[in-house]
Order: sequence, then structure tokens, then C-alpha cells
Amino acid sequence: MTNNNDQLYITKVINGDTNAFAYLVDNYKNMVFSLAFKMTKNREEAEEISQDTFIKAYKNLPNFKGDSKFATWLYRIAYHTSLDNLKKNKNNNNTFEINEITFHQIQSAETILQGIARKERSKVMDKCLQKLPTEERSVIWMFYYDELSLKEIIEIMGLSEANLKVKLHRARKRLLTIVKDNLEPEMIENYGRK
Amino acid sequence: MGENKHIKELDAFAKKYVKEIEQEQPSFDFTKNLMQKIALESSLKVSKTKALISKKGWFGVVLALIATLCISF
Repeated sequence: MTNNNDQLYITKVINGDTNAFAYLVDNYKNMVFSLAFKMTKNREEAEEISQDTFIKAYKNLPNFKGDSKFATWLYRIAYHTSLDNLKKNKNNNNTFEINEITFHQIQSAETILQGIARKERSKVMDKCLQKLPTEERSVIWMFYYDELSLKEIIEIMGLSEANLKVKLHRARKRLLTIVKDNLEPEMIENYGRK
Repeated sequence: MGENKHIKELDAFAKKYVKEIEQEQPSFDFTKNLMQKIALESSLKVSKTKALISKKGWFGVVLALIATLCISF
């Protein structure tokens, strides 16, 4: 299941070529760092978590069976290392209440977002994503940004399929609520024009 | 039906706009620093587990002992 290039470098590392690990690090460092950063919201902590993740992966590489993709296996380590860090630092989550979403609100948020330049839109969305509780933020990031399948996320987070689907739906609704709240003045103006 | 459409629209919304978020990158020398750390840990591991007398060494000691015994009798 692991891509051939990854497997080639994994075998090299297991056979004692430590430097071959750099290939795997270069390939996956952005993915690992982004997840850690999204979860902790702190660059220094994310950097440390990413280092720990790769060191753990290096030490446990002989135990990697190749049943799943190397990326999924690594993602799992990164996710749990980030969670441990959050527990250690007791980062508190301020939860946003989920309001009922209407079609009009979705369309209205889209209209506003479309009117913003892409770079600015990306910042607005990132800011809104940061306001989600850690677990929901992680689910959204894995599913929509890294495009992991439900099966892969289940493997990483250790959730049941039903539980994951509920979390995903709740996360989407909460995200839209946050976006809506952030764009509220523009939305009211937009509504008034209709 | 309405609820399903609702899920679909939210899904389309998230798909479209989350993907636009820019991915953060670790520090420029992340790989270099990490590989130095790994190299250090590997060398520590090797020196920790390395036996003072190797298998070949023990074989030589035993052989020398047997030879000494043979010569003395």
C-alpha cells in the first residue's frame, strides 16, 4: 500500500542507511508540521512535535508493516504526539456554539468569500479554522486539506465510522457558524441588498 | 432530502475554502537539524549496545585458552 519510492527508502533506512531517512523527512515534513501547527496553534511547539514525530518514526521504522500507507502511519504518530503535547500543556479550547445553518447563510457566506482576494480569503478561513475545538479542527484539516479518506482518519484517530461522521458534520456546521460570525457585517449588508 | 442537501452544501463549502488555506512550513533547516539529532541518537545507541569484547574476540580468547591448556599438558 505504501508507494514504491517510500518503501525503497524505508528499506534503506532499516538496512542501516540513516541518511536515506532525509528523503522521507523532506517528503512529509510540511504535512506533519501543518497538522501539528493546526492542532497546537504554536510554531515552536509544532516544530518540536514534528521533530519528535520523525524521531519516533525513525526508531519504529522496523515495526512499520506496510499494511497502510507510510503517510497514514506517520500521520497517526504526528496526531498522537500533538495530542500528548496538548494534554501536557493543557491548552484550553474555547468552543463556539453551533447554530442552525440555513441555505441562505451558506450562499451568503460564499458570496462574501468570493468577493475577497484569494490570499485574504485564505487568511480568513485559517483564522476561522483556528477557532474550532482541536478535534474538529483536526478532522476538517485531515479530510478537506490533506484529503485523507474516512478509513484513514478512522485509523489515525481511533474512532468508529459513525462517530467520525458525526464529528465531521458537527465540525462543518461549526466552521460555517464561525465564518458567518466573522463575516457578519458584510453578510447583513449583502442581505439588505437582496 | 433537505437535510441531505444541507450536508452536501456544507461539504462543498468546506471542500472549496479549506483547501485554499496556505500550508505552513517548518524552519528552513528542519531536515538538517533533525538528521543531526538522529545521527547523534544512532551513535549513542551503537556505543551503548556495543560489547567490549566482540564475538570474534571471545572466540580468540577461548582458542588461546585451549591452546595454553594443550601446551601445558
